Amino acid sequence: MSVATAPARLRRRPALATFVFVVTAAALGVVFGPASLSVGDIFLELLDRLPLIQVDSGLSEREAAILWQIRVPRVVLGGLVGAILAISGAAYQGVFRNPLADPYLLGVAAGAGLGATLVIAAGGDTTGILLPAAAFAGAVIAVVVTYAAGGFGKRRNSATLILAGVAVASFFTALQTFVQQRSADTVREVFSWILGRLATVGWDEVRLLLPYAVASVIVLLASRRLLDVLAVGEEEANTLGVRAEQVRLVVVAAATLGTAAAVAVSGLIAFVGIIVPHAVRMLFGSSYRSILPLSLLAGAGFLVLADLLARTVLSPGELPIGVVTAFVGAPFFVVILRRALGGQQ
Amino acid sequence: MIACHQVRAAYNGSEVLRGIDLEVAAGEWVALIGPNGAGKSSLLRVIAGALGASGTVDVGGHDPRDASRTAVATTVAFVPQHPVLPEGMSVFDYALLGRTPYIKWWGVESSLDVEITHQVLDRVDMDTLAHRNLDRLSGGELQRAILARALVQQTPVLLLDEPTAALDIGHQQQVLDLIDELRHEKGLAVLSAFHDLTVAGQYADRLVLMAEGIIAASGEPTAVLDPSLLNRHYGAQVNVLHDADGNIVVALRRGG
Repeated sequence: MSVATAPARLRRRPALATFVFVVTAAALGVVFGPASLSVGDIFLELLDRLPLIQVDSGLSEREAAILWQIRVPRVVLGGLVGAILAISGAAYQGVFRNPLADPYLLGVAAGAGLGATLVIAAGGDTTGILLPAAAFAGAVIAVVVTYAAGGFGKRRNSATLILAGVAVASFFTALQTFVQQRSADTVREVFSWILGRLATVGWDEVRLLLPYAVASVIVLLASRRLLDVLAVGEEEANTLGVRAEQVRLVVVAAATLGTAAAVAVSGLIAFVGIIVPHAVRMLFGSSYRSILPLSLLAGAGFLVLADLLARTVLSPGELPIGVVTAFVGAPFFVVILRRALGGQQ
Repeated sequence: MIACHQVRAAYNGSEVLRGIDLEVAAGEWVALIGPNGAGKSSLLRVIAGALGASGTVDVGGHDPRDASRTAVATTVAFVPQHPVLPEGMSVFDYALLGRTPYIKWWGVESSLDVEITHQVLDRVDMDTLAHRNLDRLSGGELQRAILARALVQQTPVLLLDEPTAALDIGHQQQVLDLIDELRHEKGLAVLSAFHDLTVAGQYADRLVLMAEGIIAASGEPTAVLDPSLLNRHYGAQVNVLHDADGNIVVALRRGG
């Protein structure tokens, strides 16, 4: 008897579940904040922005500005950063066949840290474009150095690349520490950057990140079938007609550009790139065809919620978002891990 | 289908192949035998394009060292001795990976790819287990799933590294009979490495005895499975017996 089977693909229920998660997170993120706006008014105001619809929301000009210049851009930025970190983490795990790979693996974090620290230490303008540009450049340079050091030569493989990443990250971090320790003022500012923040007024950060995010996501999603092929290892993937090293280069390049842009506008947000893809894998199966798109959605929702906590728990103060992602993410992850282990027995 | 001339290769700095000449015709099954480290796996990897080498290598009109990966992968299917088994992957998805060389980077499998995969799974008697995860298969089922992936590639050349090393004799027979049927049916050129000399002699048309990176002897099983030859290269004392059907049995001599 033949059993009809389709290839592993994104199935409807997980897609719907993660989509509902993102929408819910976004709605909560828009509704809650230090200034209290009525839910109904926010709904009408959002509706008013849709084409062909004209309604009066009843929000004052100041309230509308809070909504459009503070809350909505922040939710969108959080969603974009979370989506990029999660999908890049998933892609790195696939391409390196290493569950501990995260998008910072090849030196993105250390490079961005050095770039940002140089700007802060030099007394540069930390509110404009200079800081993200320097962080972005540092991140990309670090990964290029890693690839040059470990990605070529006769015995290139993902292990040598990861080791090169460790060396490059240590070197960049050493430089960064050296620069930052020369002035006490710098230390404080650098640490606040390193702990991550989504503080934004207006749409500048979103505009900076969006083109990289879109390009990166398109390339990663288009490569998701090949990540399943790489699951048989580089040599076997080669005998199946796939140039594993080429796929790795393309995927790493795409994930790095996206991550570097995300890091540039948000600082380092730990944990998202590891726990979100693993949670998705444990809940919905191990094919990258579903892990990538579902991580994208789940990562967006997760970071929007984490940011909501970060800005409301100590309101009007703010917690660094990296603290929240680890504080909330770690126990949540342990619960999923235990469920997955329980299911295997 | 396979023609190697003066093939030399090094692996991890030591020379593992030192001038190999080998030909395998369509529809022919040639078995590589020889002690551990003789270079059997290295030779298979060279032909599959997974290991660089000097000399001439021609597989179905392609040189696996220069030709595109796709051209090689549509000519040669390679089953390594210890394939990497992706965690949590179903038998169907694993076998479907064999269609990879026919799909573009951005592409997805066509209904034809799915159809071919089903036919092969049916052929190796695995269609009812198509949904099952690889990590929940018995040894025999797993070996058939791995073979299915290679057959789904629909190549004229099949390379097998110890295809039955992990199987009990029942499953060994099942898998080997299947390969034998398929190579007659489709005219496949089969080159496989074997440790079990009796099995090698029974299934292969020709045996190639390798030792220290060279071919020490080759020819029909009766010529190669010679006690003194085997003793010289394996260092083993064996009896070579002939059963009533004309099959060769290589038996170890205890305390030899």
